[in-house]
Amino acid sequence: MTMRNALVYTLLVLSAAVMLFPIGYAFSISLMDGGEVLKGNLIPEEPSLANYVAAFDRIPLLTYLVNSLVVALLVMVGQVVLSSLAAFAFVFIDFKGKALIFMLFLATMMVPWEATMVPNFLTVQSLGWLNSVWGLSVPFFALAFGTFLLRQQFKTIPHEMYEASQIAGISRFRFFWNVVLPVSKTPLVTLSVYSFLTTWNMYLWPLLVTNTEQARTVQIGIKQMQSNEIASDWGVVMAAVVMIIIPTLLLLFAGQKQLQEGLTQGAIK
Amino acid sequence: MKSIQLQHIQKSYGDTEVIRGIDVTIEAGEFFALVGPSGCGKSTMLRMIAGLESITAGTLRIDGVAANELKPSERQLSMVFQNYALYPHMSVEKNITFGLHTKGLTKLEQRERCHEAAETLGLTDYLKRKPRELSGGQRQRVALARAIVTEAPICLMDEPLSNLDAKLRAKMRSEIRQLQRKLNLTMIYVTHDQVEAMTMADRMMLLNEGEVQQIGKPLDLYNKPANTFVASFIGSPPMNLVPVKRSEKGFVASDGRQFQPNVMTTVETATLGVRPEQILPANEDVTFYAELKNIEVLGTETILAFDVGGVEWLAKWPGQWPLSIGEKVACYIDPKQMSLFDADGERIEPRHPKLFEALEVFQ
Repeated sequence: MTMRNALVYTLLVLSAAVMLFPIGYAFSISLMDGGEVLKGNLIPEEPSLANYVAAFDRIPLLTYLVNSLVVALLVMVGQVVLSSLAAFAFVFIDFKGKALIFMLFLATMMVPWEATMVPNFLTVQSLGWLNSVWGLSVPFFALAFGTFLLRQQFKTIPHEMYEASQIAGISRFRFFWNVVLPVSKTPLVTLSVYSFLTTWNMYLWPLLVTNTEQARTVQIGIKQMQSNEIASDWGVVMAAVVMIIIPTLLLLFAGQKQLQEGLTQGAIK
Repeated sequence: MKSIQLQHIQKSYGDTEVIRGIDVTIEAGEFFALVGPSGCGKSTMLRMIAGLESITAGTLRIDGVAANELKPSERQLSMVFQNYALYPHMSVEKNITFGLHTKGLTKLEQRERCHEAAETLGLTDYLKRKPRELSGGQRQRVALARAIVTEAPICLMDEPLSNLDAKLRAKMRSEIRQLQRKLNLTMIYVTHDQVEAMTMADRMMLLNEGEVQQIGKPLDLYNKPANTFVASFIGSPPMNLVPVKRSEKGFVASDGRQFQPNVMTTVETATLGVRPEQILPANEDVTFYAELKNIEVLGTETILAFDVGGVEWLAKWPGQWPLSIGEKVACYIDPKQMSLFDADGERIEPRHPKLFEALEVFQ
């Protein structure tokens, strides 16, 4: 048994090292100066934070970070609110054509996002939302996947709980707010983390709808650094990359327990 | 106290009729049991009264007022579900008080009512706990407390005891009954367990496949089952039944055993029914001899199994009988205790019950 454990842990440590290498190397580069990077050093000889100062200096990294944070939080809140309300309707309210509408809902998952980009762009443009947080966030509020995820969770809530609340005269919204949401904490956190990360890492859409420094998000900023004259200065680029990884890592650590539970839910009972 | 009136209530899902016209009045303050095998429509019936299912046809009246279109919360009732339907993330206290705000009670009044209900049900020490930290019986009590805290005059219960073990069930049975009397509730109680219905109900209704089989006091159903279904559903072990044909002296089973029930009838074929405890060890008169197929000595009583006309019958003799399998015993059945059912399974009433009683007095 200990032999086997030793083997398993060795393999796990190796895979973790392989997985973490790019991030570790990026961090390492962010502390080197240009010459060292070109020498191919793995560990900086004289670690310095100069690259970080430079990153904030040369591009408006802070503005980009704030933009990304605002957009990601907006999308997260929008998706959680709309998905949970839609899922509640699909589970607890009886209406004609419920099954059909739900199928249509799911069918939208089959349409790749890129295919709807042009009409979305035209809509956002005509609303005058180019270069604004609304243009970056509102098109993502409705999420079939989120509705599906939460519907599956809500379906595990015994229907008698809803009926008991009806008999007691509790309003639908109060039942939703005081019973359905609290007992569904885990999938709600899962969905929030998923929404936040997806939006944070979004590249194509922000590239389309923003063209001013005031409105850009971090991913665009990074790309911009690479293609600008500072491209050769990898230390600065990596310093910026490390800066934008931090929020996502924080979120992952904070939500790790819930996230794991959410993804394996129903596996054991 | 409120009465409930069902006037030709029907329920169908598409083309499937699940309730085929029920007429009954449940008096104010009555403990009314709805009994039947699973799938007979008893829960649907209860849910229609609660307003959780729509009524396809017929009128439901609560205290004389048509209630078909009323919302569940407007029907002045409370309900206890089979799985209790407690809110898992709320403390017992919150579970009990959740919803009381709709009755316009202040926080203080809510707490007072909650403590009162908790005291009635012995939950005072558990108010801060979550449902998962309670035993099955305690959860059941929380569900009851949630029902009585609303002070609704009508209480509906859907198989509330089926998740408890036998001992606890017997205890809760009497507790629920006492609670109903104390609070003067109009109670409608759904169960598939005829023992529960017999022991708790003032009156009961037996349903099968959406049709009323019999409505009456538990002992009426026991002593005078309206048909063979009632006879075989009520009682444990149930009534013994055997197909019989008319003969010169009375009726004869396919194995030649003779029965002379005290029923005047002209039917040629019928079903004869006798309760196991009415088959007694014979003293002088012998109704038939039985060859024992099985015997169970239970301490206070002995259960004998034997064949009559190709059907296995059970007899329940008081006391402990040192009999062995294969032995022949003489049995006696009082003719007055024999029930007779016609070809459709309907009970044939003794045509002149008064006359029989009169004759008896003379004898």
